[in-house]
Amino acid sequence: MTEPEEVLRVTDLAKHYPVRSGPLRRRTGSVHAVDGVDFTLHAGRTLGLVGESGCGKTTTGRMAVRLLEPTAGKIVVAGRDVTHARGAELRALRRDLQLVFQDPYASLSPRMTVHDIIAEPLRVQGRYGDGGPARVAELLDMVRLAPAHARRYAHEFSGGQRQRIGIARALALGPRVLVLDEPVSALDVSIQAQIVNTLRELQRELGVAYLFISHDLSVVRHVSHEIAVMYLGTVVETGTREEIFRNPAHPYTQALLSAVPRPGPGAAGRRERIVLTGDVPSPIDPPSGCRFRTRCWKAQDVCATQAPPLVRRDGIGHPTACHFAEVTDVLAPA
Amino acid sequence: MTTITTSPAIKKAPSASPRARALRRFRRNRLAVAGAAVLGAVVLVTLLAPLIAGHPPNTVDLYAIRQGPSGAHWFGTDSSGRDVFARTLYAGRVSLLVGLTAALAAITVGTLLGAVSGLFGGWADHVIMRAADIVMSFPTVVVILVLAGIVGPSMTVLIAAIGLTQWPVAGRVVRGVTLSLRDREYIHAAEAAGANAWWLIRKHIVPAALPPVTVTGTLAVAQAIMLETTASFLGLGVRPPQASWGNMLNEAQNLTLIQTMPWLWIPPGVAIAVTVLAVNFVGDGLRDAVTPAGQGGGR
Amino acid sequence: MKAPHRKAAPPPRERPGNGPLLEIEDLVVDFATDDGAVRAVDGAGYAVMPGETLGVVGESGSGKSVTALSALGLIKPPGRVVSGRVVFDGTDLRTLPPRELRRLRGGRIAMIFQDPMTALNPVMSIGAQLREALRLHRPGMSRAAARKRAAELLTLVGVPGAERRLRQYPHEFSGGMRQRAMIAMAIANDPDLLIADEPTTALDVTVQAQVLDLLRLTRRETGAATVLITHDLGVVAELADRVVVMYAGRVVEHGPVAEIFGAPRHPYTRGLLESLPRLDGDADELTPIPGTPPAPGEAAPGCPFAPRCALARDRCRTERPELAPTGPGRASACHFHHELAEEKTA
Repeated sequence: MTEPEEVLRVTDLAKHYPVRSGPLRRRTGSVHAVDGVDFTLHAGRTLGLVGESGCGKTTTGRMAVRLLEPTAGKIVVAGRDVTHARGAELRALRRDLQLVFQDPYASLSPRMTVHDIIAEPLRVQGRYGDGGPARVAELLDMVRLAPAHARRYAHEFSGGQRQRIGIARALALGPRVLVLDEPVSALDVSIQAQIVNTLRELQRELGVAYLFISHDLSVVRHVSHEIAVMYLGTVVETGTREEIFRNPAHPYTQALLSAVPRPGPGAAGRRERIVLTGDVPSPIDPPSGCRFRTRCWKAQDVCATQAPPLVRRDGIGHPTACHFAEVTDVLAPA
Repeated sequence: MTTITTSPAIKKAPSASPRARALRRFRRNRLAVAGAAVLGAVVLVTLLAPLIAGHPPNTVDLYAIRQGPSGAHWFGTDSSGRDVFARTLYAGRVSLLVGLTAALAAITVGTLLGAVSGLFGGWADHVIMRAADIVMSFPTVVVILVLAGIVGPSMTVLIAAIGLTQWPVAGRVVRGVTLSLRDREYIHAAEAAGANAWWLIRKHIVPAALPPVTVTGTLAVAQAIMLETTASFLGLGVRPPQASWGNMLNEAQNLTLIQTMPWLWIPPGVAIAVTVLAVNFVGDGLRDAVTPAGQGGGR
Repeated sequence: MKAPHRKAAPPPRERPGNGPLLEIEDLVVDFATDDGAVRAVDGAGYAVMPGETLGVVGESGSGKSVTALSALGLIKPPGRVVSGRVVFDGTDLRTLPPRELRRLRGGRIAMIFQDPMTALNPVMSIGAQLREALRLHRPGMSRAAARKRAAELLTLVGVPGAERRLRQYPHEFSGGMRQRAMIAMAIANDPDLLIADEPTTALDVTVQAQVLDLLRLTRRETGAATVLITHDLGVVAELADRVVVMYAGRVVEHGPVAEIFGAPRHPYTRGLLESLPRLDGDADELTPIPGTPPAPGEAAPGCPFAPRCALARDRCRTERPELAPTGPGRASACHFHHELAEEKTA
């Protein structure tokens, strides 16, 4: 199998926000929202970025599409360094990188018709004059909405339909990369499945690369080819879908997988779980060494002094950032 | 899933634009509809003044000064023998023109500065908002007084002075709207498509700010009419012989006239009161129509 | 099926007979809107037995929260209970004076909400709120006793350093800790019935696991019956004994959790289970339920699920199916539920 074309590569991406305090608003520290994230997206493939709230997954996604300025790191699109693209170059870059948002209510203007919402990117880029209405009709068809929907306002649609409108808008400029930030989290399960299937079909048809950001491991499993697990601003484990779900080696991944309540038939829902203690520490002053050590049952002295790099370790087929990484199938029936 | 389950989402809302829905709510408000009707009548009557008045407004008739109401002069005549009815109608044109233009100037300036302030933040926000504070701490009448003193009283000076002093009201409203929009995802979506600040202001901020700005604008019209009246009453506004409601009152400002010749001041006085009241009713009705109870802010 | 987790039997309560603790029957709730009344709950009902955990599942707009809230008189205008019967421990709640209903809530009936920030007072310390909850229902309780009990409660729900934490305010607590504090308040007066409305929905999955453990613990400690309202079938599978499935303001199926999830007898329940993304099994295409739920007020004469149902035929569109038994302790509101049973065995 030939490796699919690489469309986006980010290296060592970081975002720090200054923390100011005192009467003079002096900088007293910084929030390490994202701290050195690497990943690569390939045409027609999906990378699932999972983690809990505050892990930096949304910030990472916004930086990847250049909506947020990274503090450090490099963003390369189709071989070109665009980390500091400005003006006309950035505007042209927008066609390649698009975003779908979580909230199907806040992400559509209540004052525009569906047609105007989907046409906006075309108008901004000065492409509407050249067959704009036909393009909008085509996009509506792609996301399985009826042409008659174009004249209506967003508030007349259900959550799932609104999310389809958001997807159509993101696809308007024919992007190579689509960052999907929790695209189905606000939807009911029966609708969630419809959107997930539509996204999969669109990827097959268009060959677009997805960065699928979600806190929901089971949804991520159904859409991703590869998965990266984030904790407190860093990637702790990454690998193919099978590797992450069958052979998780980082304690955090294992805890995350085992914590999901499952509606198994019979009593399968009730099983041994790894329940972590405490909360995620503040990103203002993250723990030294391994950031997960404060909640980890495997933590030793070395974890406090040495940050474990994200590398392939003995006996594990994929990179993990844990000194004591060990494959355990936490999903196997007990 | 963040769903507010206590109030079921109404998915089958009637197919209507937000504006059409606001209009429907406005029509249900009787006081506002009455205000709009009265205002419409006032505007119509002043526009049709040449047809209705029967007399030219500025023709002096020294043989018929200070006559009481009669068949020939419905509202009597003033100290120069001019027809008070005709003058009241023509004065309405001037007062409404000054009120509308000044309010329009104020909300245009306010909208632009407010949008810039909210969108860019930082020092731009700081400078604009401090300027607003300073302007608002000046009594408008004093500004008119100073300007009139420097360049002489005129309608233009009046409009400029009111526009310059009244913009912060709209400015703050628009800044508030902009701040609440700035982190909306549909604004981010437009930015992700390559939209610049001017695009965001034109396509997203102004349309969103229009309903609340219309409300402040309407109330600003009432305010401007009052200011015009005050300024002209003090001899700082519209210059005679051109009639305005304010300078008509000015001509009746001594006790004997007030007591013995009420036809000189009652018509402009009532016209001012009725017009301002009607404008305020319309403004209140608009406010209720664009921010209906239980539909917090409307995303 | 009884939960295997409950070790000790719940402490005995004075209760007449072995009847249900809470019984809701034929509840109808309307919401007034600009375009007329919209029916949010359309003849829903269920019974909660003493000490059991009943899961109520459904998607947004199914009426799962409104049913419970209006049963307790917690629905505010524009919402209005049109008809129905609500009996708690022999008392008809719908005819109870508001004062007595208030005394019941926070006393024998306690609530846990999705967002603790709306249920906790931001300008009162956690300790003060706990003490208030305690003394409101036990006027005789001394200050010192209330303080001691508040610390005990906070320790019980797993908030470390209770003495110090009592002096803190809600905003000083993390999301998980706030939810723990709210659970402490809910169990403060040793309730007989706990209504938990999406108690873990706003939480991260690792924190959710902690709170689920805590809910199991409190059930053991208080022996209270629990109505667990959630959209998450996994949470129901972990915690509940029986489950009620709601759709479009009606109950479409109910019964023991393992049986309902293992062999659903209503096409909606089955569709819901099949559309669920899973951590195990087939990892590819999902099986969605086609279409969307009816908008509230979009009343159809027959079965509300018919437009989305593969089994639907003419009868479904004209005749409303009533709940009919499909086995011991379970029922389904589908004209053709027996076909689902045959399918499974075939």
